[in-house]
Amino acid sequence: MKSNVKSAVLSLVIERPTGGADVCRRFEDRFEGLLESRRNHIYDALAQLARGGLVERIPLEESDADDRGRLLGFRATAKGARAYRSWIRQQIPASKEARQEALVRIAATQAHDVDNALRLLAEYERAVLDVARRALPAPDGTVIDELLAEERQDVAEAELRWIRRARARLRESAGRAWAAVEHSA
Amino acid sequence: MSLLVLDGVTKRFARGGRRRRERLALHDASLELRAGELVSVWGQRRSGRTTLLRVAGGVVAPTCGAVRFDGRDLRERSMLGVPGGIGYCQREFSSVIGEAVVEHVAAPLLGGRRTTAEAEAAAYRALRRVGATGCAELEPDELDHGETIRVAIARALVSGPRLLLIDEPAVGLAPTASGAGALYRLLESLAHDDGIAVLTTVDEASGLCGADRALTIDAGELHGQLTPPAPVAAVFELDARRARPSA
Repeated sequence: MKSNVKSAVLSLVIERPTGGADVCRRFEDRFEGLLESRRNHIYDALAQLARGGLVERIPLEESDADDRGRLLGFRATAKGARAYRSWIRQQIPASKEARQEALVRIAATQAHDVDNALRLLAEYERAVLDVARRALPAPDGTVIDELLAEERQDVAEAELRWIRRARARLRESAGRAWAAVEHSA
Repeated sequence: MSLLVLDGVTKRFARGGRRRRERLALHDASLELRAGELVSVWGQRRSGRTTLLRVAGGVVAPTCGAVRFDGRDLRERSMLGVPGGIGYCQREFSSVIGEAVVEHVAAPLLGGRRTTAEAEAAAYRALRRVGATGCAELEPDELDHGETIRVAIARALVSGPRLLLIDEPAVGLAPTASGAGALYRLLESLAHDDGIAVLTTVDEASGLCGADRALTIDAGELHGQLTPPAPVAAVFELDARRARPSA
């Protein structure tokens, strides 16, 4: 899958088989600021996923009907699940877009897939560290150069603190899941 | 070959009144540093960042795992303050050592074969290298934050180390190009121009500027690129006569 929007839409359908309007709403919430989320793009992505056999149409319960009363929803096929797994596990090449790419994939990770979320978090962290170590104003730079370098440093600082918190929370949730498995065994 | 290798290092400290509890300061930490590399580690308080430096310098021994400097286990022989060994930057200056800064910087060289004059000459060279010649005759109490860290670096450099360890070098410095920025450029120059491996810990992302590799440490675990990148193959000029197509 070439387009991140298609992959992101597929991740939402895998998370919960649902109608197009619900996918649009969740897409806007989840990928805000990361991916363009115009509704026609999301419906286009759903149609392309359906044509490619990655999602299939399913009837919805009346309670799940969208604003226009439509009762047709989407769920992922086995081919779609394979395509999603291959995309989410793909190594992110080092580039200027690596930080954004890692964030999109973190947002598209299923909540129970903690190992993958931790791996993506590590890739995101490397991209942030790369930005931070380059955020050095030139010795002969202007005050604007200094301010821009400081802006990049401050953003990196906030991102590193978030990564630290996210890592702890993910491990905590994995620990709770294991405890539940052991308790039920 | 890597100059410093931390191989699966764990460090636990006893804590509590009866020392029955333990604090895990480093957890299975592995790291390699090459000569001429500046590596900065970002970590918050109690992340294990200071323990990382103390273990890397052989100041404290790891509970498990090994620390090797130039291929030799630091438990077999301390390399702290040894020529060609490890310089550990400390900001404390004991009044027992002397009054003037130059005496403190020269102190690591005394007690061997060097005379006081030779040791002080070496101290002046080290102070000049870090841009603190003007501090030589001052007393440590008279130094500001920026001067203190530069003098501390000079004292660590005076024995000619191949590895320099500095905990939070920019503490107390303004986050400007002329404050912390100038200090980071000095560390960069020590690594790239003098070929010294420099390992620093920082508590702000601004401290990662200019590093060849930036890492993080949290709950005693290191994250990021833990080994140096593979060296780029040298490019050889083609012999012009041979490169020409044959007639």
